[in-house]
Amino acid sequence: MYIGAIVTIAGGGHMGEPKFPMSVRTAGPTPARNSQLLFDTPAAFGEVLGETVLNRVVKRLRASGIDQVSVISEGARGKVAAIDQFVLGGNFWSAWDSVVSQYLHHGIELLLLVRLGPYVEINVDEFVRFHRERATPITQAYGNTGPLDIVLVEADSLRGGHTSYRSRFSTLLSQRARFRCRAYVNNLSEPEDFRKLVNDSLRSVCELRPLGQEVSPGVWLGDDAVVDELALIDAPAYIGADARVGASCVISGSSAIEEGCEIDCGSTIENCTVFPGTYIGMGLHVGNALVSGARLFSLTRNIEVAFGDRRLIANTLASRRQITNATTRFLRPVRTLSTARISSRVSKVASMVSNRWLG
Amino acid sequence: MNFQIMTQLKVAKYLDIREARNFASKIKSELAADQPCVVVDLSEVEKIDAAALDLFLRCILQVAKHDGVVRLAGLSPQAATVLELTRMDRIFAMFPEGAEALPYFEAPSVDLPARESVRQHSAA
Repeated sequence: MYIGAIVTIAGGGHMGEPKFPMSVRTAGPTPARNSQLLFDTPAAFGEVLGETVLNRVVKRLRASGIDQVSVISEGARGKVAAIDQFVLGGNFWSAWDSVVSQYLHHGIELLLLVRLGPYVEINVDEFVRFHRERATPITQAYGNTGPLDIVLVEADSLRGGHTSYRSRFSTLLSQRARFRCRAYVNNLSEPEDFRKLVNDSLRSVCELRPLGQEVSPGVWLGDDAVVDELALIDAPAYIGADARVGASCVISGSSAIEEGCEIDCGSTIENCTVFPGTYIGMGLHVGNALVSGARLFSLTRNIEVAFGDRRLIANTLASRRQITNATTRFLRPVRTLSTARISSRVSKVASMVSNRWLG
Repeated sequence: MNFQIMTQLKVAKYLDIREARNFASKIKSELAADQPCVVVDLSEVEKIDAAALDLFLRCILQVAKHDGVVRLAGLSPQAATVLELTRMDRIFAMFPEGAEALPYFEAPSVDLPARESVRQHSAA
């Protein structure tokens, strides 16, 4: 059977408004809301144990034998592998109609519509079988808490007629069959849900697997990750590719240090997700939080704190630049000037550098 | 020891090195008195940088050298998060409101409130 999938990602500005036809619901939670933005980016682009949610969903669809996969994003842009096309929709509905039209021209028999949002480990084969047995033009998946944004549509039912595909789809909704999905579902509607997904994955509650090698039970390391021999990693934990964990650091509570992060000496990371390219300064205690760049979201206090000081929390690149500058400034005065002329600021930075680099 | 409230200092929205210097000069004037007692109101603080924290800590050490006491009050969630991040929450007694710190100056032997209750308050 020739199946095409359209994965849609709601944009940032108008996520509060129902956009997708599947949002016409009789019960259940409201669709995508602003809270699905994680540090101003849709949660679908958030990295979970080495790979974005979107990438994982697309890979899952490919593994289930879906022939064509297209992604329509309302606003945010992101890297995604193994798709046939990525449409950055200024006008969501015209982009959607155009992708459906292409699929129908290619002779697609079944159309699978997935909205992210929620992370669902749906068994596509089972879903298709159910749909075929019911012989309805449209089937929607339902979880324990209500409808999920996953729908199967018979391509033939969209063919013909003079109205847009969107309106044809909307009229079909009343005939939908309900597929009871017993798979793992994470709504990803709150920051806590993101932590829960990491925790569930590290504890093998769901099928999502960390990208890397399990070097000891419950501890995964990505490619070229460097962990100091004096650091303590309390399983389960994940250290992503190219990440660095300094001496005397403690990583515990199902924490995930994503790709390219740097945890400086003596810091404690407990029950946290540190998103790619984040620098955590020396001797800090980061607990129960999500950290990205210079921003920290405290799950305990439910607030976001922005940091202006690159010595505390920052982008790895910004932090490395500061260290490079500091090294240059530190070395020059020592060679050419007497130490008395080194300004207090430079000496402070220099002491930081010497602490970090010279032990 | 008889402690009296001598000063209640309010810290601005962004506790950077400049604001910390302001704070230091205010503290300096308190050091003339015996056993200076200072309540630092952090209710408006949204951002703190490391240099300011360093100077802030030195001021507080100066007060301690003069047998004085510093209490932190009305912590904004942002300030509480940064203090927790830098582990400075372990060295200060923190109170939800400035007025709640008073009894602990007058009778310092009274057990200080559990840090957790202050955290919960600031979270709320």
